[in-house]
Amino acid sequence: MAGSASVDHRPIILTILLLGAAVLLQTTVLEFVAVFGVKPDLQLILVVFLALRRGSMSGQIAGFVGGLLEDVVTLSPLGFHAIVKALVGFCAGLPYGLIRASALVVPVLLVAGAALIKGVASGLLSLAFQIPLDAHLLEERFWIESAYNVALSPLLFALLSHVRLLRTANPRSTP
Amino acid sequence: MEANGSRQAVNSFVSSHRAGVVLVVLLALGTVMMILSHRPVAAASERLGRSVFSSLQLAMHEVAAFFGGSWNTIAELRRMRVALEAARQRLLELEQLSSDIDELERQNAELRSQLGFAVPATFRHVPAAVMARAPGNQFTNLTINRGTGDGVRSHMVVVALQDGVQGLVGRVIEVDERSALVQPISARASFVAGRLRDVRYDGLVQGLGSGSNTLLMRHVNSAAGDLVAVGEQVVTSGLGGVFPAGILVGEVREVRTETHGNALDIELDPAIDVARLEYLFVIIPREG
Repeated sequence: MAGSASVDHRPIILTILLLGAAVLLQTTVLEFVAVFGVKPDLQLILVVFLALRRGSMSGQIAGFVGGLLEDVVTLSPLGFHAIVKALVGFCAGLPYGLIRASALVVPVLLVAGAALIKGVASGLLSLAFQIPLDAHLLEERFWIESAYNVALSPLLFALLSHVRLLRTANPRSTP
Repeated sequence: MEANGSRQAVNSFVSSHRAGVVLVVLLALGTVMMILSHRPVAAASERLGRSVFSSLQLAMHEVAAFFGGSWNTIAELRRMRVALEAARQRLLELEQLSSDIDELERQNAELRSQLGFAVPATFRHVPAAVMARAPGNQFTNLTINRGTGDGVRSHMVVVALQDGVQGLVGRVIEVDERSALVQPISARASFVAGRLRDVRYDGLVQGLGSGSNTLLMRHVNSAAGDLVAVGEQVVTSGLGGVFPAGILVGEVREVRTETHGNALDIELDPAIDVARLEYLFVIIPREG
């Protein structure tokens, strides 16, 4: 009886804490490591990691919650980042179980794809709701951010894979 | 029977496409939030969330400022020396001007009373520190450590001193008890009614995004083309009532004709570099 089994809430709590911590870091200390004034999107990398380890369902919910946290501390309309990150989480979870999460090339490719999805989704939302963005798909800043995210992804994936509670049932996640 | 059949079909579709269905629900929820985001209920919940976050940001800011401050001390000293020299120079200029200003103020007050104008509103400057910035690169905002508890309200104007000059930073957009979100004039969503200080032509100053250290003054009458010079200052015109008149916005860098139409586009060097802003002032109208 799967329904009677007690659910372990610790990964959920930890995920929310990590998403909050990512936003907190991005609003404060990441200024010090900005490249050409551009900060990496730690939350995006985290959402991709979770999606790859736990599938689209976890990825999109984590993305939505993380995006909401981001919306609270920016001047974007509430829901903007939530939609973008939920889409990223869903798409990044599609290869769940099909690829080895620990391979070096996987984070690089997935985060690059996620950055592209973020750019397209943000652009579409910006067009639909007439929201002026400071960095969009056709601008240098967007590509610098994407490159920064891609460069950081192997390191962050390696760090996150040591967090026991985030380890998962992905059958191909270990070599 | 038919109803049962269709319910079963729906159930089986939902269970086989759970992630997709949840995604659709999340996207719909996000869209509703975006539509309602400026309504009171959504704004209140956002304020509550920001209030919780601002305490954490403040703590993080203190820690980062401690380590960052120690690390940057030498560079900061060098910058301070340059700023001090600029401030000294400015002080000399201001001292020369101050005697003239006293006389002008007296004359102005006399003329105003003769013309029946109201006494202009006076302001006080509330100092604030930048404790956080936008987490991403798509939106530009500053979080400051002053809120409604300090008298800060939405739409109040924010200025700063940098390299010896006072310039416009932006305006407060959202505020809670202990913090406020400021939209700098470098943001694409920012528009300021500006005026060329010497030639007196008006235009609309638009931000080009936080990555660009340029402002664009648009819709300036083409007649200004022959008069305006590189380096001329642009100040707020006070039109629209959002920004008080006379606050320095930037200096003319380049003048060019608009791609369509016969007005001028003028590129400006902003008076304040928002990227290296640490302290600023919120302008609060004095009561009474």
